Amino acid sequence: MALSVNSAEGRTVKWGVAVDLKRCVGCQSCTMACKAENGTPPGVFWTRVIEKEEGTYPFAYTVFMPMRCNHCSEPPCVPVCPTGASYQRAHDNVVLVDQDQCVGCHACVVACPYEARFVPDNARGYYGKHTTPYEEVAFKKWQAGTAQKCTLCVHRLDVGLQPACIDTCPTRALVIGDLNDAQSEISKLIQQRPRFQPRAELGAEPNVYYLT
Amino acid sequence: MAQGFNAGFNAEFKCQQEWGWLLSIWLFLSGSGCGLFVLFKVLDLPIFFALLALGSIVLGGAVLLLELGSPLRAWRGMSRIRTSWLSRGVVFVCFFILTGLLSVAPALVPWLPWDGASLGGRALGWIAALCALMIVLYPGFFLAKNRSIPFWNTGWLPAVLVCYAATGASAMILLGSAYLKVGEGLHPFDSLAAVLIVVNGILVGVYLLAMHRAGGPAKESVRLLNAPPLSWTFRVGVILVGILLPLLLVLWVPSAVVLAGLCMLAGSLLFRYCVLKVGVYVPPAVVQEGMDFSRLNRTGTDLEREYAGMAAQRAGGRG
Repeated sequence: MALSVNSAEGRTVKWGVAVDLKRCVGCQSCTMACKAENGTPPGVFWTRVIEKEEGTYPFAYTVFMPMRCNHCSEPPCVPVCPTGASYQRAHDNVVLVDQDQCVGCHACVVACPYEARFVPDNARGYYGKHTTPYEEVAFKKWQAGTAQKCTLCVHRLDVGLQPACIDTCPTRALVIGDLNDAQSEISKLIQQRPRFQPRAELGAEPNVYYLT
Repeated sequence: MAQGFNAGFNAEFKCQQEWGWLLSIWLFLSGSGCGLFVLFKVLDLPIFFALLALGSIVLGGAVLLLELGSPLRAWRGMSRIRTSWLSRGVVFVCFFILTGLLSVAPALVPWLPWDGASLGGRALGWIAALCALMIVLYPGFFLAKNRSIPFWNTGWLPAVLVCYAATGASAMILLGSAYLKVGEGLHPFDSLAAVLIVVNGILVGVYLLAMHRAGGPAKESVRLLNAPPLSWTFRVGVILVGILLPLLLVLWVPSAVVLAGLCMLAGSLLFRYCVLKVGVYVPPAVVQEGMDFSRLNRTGTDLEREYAGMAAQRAGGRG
């Protein structure tokens, strides 16, 4: 689906994602869409849905919570990087890793309170020693021994498309938009609905909002 | 579907899995080595101890390279000194090795144009000692800056690590006591070791107490130190072998100071390993106050009443 961004000249975009917890059914479609789009290594999930059981029988229920990089306004993973490989784009808030500069010190992995960063130690595929034709192509997007994370699908975002996880969500629990634009769908949702930012008390100013 | 698929995606307390033995060895070698170099300058120890300090720092640096995912790019590590403690540390280590080597070189190579007693030689030595002090300090700040792990995110951790660096340095002095010209009985270095062990023990106790009282993930970290699989390492390795046994040896068995030094070094290494392994992340906030689950928490009686009301409504509608 194409994004409608009001890109008035001189205005910086602040990408945000709203997650409607009332709509999420924990189907992991976003997890799989991310895997297919970005070809992440085995055991690495740039986005995933965590679950927690609450209550006791017969009134037990499960809470689902899609988790990903929050592309924070004050990302704690960026200043700890000793090489400058972790950076935030100047014209928006997308946090990225320049894998050619990363030394793989794991400092950013530990600094991220959302466990959204990963350092794969090898480039083995899902099916033993040999990589599949898909993995051969997809694994060229990252380097073993360096940090990787959700890029908010910048390759799609920059051509006006939504990230794969958001495009795939069957219940439309995920919404992306410009938080600086008061008329965007996400800004309206955040204004109308009760919401929380994950672990906002840690001071990272995350740009993912959970609607409750 | 989600039940089987995302067995690992739970919202409970989770320890960091990134750092273990290699980083512990680096913290141990760099801390103890640099502590020793500072003591070498302050206490005017024989040159052997400066070489021991330099050797342990170089070895620590090599171990840190093994920890890196891309060690060939390690030179890039000094390009963000404005924000990154790790980057500052790399700069301090480079300066320390350079100035440290230059300051001790005249003792090994007599034909050099400067000597240790000259103004330049002394300045080099003190610059190296200052860099060594910064290397002792920065790992604590580097770990304490992580808000994601409350057990590290405290001012107590740098203090404890500095104290452990001093204890490790004093243990190295005990190991090299053959190079010291001292008399029989309890000499100043044994007393220094005893004082540092006691201060260390108190600091570790206060640190753990503070973390236990902080609750949440920090309390969970303290619990993990006292639960398998780390309980034996912590209780026997850190407390018994690292603190109690060397204190007894230093105070009452002067002939066993080398053994005491070995015990202190072992405890020092194991403490760092334990602290790293029990780094528990702040768990994701899955259930927030804003979420209304009240209707899910209805009791059986409430439900029966509600169903009865609905049935009566339907019956009324038909009538």
